[in-house]
Amino acid sequence: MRKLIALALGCFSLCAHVGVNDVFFEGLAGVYPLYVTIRPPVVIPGVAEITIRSAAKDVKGIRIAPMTLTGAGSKYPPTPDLAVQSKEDPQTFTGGLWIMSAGAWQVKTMVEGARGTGEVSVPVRAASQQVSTMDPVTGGVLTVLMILLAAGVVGIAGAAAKEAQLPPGTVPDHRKTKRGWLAMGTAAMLSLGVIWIGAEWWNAEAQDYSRSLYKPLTMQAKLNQDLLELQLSESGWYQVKTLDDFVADHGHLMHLYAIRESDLGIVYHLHPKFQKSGKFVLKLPEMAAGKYRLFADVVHKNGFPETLTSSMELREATKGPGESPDDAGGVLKGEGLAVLEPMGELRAGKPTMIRFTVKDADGNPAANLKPYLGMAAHLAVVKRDFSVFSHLHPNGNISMAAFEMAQINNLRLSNNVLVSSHASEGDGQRVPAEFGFPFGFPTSGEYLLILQFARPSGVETLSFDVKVSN
Amino acid sequence: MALACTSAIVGAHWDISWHSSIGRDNFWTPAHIAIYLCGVFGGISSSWLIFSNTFGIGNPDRANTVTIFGLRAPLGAFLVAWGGVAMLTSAPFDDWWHNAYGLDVKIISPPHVLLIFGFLSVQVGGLVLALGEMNRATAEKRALLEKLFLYLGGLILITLTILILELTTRTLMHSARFYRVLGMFIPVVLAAMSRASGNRWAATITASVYTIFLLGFQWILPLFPAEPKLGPVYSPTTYFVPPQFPLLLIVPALACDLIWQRMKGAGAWLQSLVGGLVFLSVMVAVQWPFANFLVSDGAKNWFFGSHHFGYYVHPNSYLRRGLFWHPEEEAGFGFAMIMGQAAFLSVLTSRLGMGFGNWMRTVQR
Repeated sequence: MRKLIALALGCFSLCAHVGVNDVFFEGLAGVYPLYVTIRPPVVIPGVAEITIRSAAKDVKGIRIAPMTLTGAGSKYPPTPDLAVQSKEDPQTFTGGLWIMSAGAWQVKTMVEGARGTGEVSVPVRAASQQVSTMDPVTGGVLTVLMILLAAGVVGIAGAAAKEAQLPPGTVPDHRKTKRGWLAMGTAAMLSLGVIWIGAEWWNAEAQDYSRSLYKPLTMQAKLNQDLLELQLSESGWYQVKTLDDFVADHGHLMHLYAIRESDLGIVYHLHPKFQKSGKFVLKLPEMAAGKYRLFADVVHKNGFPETLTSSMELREATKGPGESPDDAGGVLKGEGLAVLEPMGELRAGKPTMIRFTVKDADGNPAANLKPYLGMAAHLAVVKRDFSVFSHLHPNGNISMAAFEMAQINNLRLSNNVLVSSHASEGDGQRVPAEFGFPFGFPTSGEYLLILQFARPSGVETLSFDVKVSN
Repeated sequence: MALACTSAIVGAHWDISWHSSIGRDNFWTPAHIAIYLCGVFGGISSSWLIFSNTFGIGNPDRANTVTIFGLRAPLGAFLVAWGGVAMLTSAPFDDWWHNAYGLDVKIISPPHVLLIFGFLSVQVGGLVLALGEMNRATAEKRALLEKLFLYLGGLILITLTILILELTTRTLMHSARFYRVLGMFIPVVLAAMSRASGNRWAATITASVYTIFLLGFQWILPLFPAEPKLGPVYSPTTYFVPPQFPLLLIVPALACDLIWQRMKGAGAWLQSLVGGLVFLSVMVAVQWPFANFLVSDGAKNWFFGSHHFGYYVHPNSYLRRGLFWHPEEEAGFGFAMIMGQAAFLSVLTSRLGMGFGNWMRTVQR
């Protein structure tokens, strides 16, 4: 039991990973706009809870099925479940899906409505997050039953040796009685032995399970003047991951956020280049001196996204220029350039929509916005104690690379991607001045929202403070 | 009691097939109900026996009972009651286990082993109840009870093969560890049944019960539709996936019967030595070449059933590709070492079975 408690304490630090376990997605299934919330199980295998809210009123039914994102398991969907329609809110549907192994999954969502059918697949990252300890009531009941069973073994062994072979009605003699006591003693020893073996087995299983607790790749940052070197290495997580299997997520293999630790007042969104297996490098742009917390988003080729963390201390400001034209950031600007629309009281764990309106110089909704990295806007959500970091797009907190993998078998791929604010430069699509990010803050506390969008003059990086209650 | 045990055996294989075909279940599936009914029936009947004998209700024959902590009943009733409590204990334990370490992915876990031991105890309790009656009965009644006794022995054999199911798939049939696990679990039942019943063909009959049940499962389960309700689905199925073709235990069982018939005057250790070695060598002689056939296309038909795969069986797996797995530890001298352990265990468990059989033969209460 002590080992179990130790594992649970160990889990505390693991659970406080920077990513957010739950998935928040907004997009189209055919013509039907959906807000999908997926709460993956914290223990794998386990059941993921799915909640889908349709913005359209003509949705008749929604079916959901879990599949792996890539590989042989992505070819044959299991029989889909019919999500349960809420009686209070007929536009809300709920269901539970079993996730049987850690890795990159997708929830295939099939909508049937008055305007025909529609499909969208939402990528989900599944990994064990914690080891549970036994509650005192269950522990007490099982302990009593264990003692009862052990006593039963002792009693049965004694009776078997003392009386079972005697003809009916015969009273056991001294020899038989002695044999009975001997058998009871032996059975007691054996019972203790079995309980000890069982406890060892249980601990071995618990330790084995603890190895399956998710640990992201480790990342070490090294500065050589204005050249940042990021060395990645295996973390010991039981799943085989390679250090050279990354795929591009809106054009880059890595998206690195550098946030100044002292006041969170300076933020950069950078794009290191892959140099060799496990190594990324970046010539830093013009950056202010300070100690920075680093959050790096990468996606493996199987669609499994990870957020790697590290820190670096820039003793002197760098002069730049950097290598990547997509790098952007600096001293955060406050409200005025964009407005955070009222969201009411924010509560931990509750799905919400973080909406912004970008203004022009006259205070009107901006009409000249451009896509930034193929998206209408990017939002980083950072808790002020750095225990939460999540990089969002108007689709939600899914990886866009994983999302595109999930749509491979989806006939409505183009429809989904275009209407889901995944704007691409040069496609002539106008970037709206108003956009929202589906998200649920995992815990209560003070958060910083770092918004990035592009005007013809360049990328703007703004920040907004929000407070989340329990 | 025989009905309760049969219910649990059918339920257990139904449940395994459910997990191979549909995947998703809950506590109230028919298969689970069939399993737990064994514990409930066993618990009720044994509780009645204990209650009525302890408090002298219904004029029971208290002379045929033993006493445990002030309670009176035939010994078998206490074994059944213990099994029932163990089976019911395993339910909340298993539920917690799922929440802590994930839903069912393997058979051999502490709560499942507790469930199987509980079930075994119910079956052994049934055996001992039958034996008590049998050892006190007239010749005519004894013949009927002996049939019941051998049938229950067959169910025990099936239960043990469920416990070792993951270690006895056809991909392992060319590994020494496959024969080691058989040596560890099978001779004890064959020897015990042979000794306790006194029937010349006890081991063969016991193995026949196993073979008939398994063939029945293999031929009947695929007649019912089923489809996976969770992923990843690697081998799509439209019917209940049955267990693999039964192990050829009936052949070494027959060999053991023949040997033990000819060694009646010999000591138990000598009989165990010869019986254990005969069991192992005949098992290797028949199962090893038969495994070549089982993994071939020739066995992919309704009779042998090698074309049935659980939905989770990966196309690159040894099972789907019809390959044998050779563990690293069996390279070189390792194979002989583990086969030596298999021989030692076969002899040892034969002796244990004989000792237990001898005790059962003298059970009066």
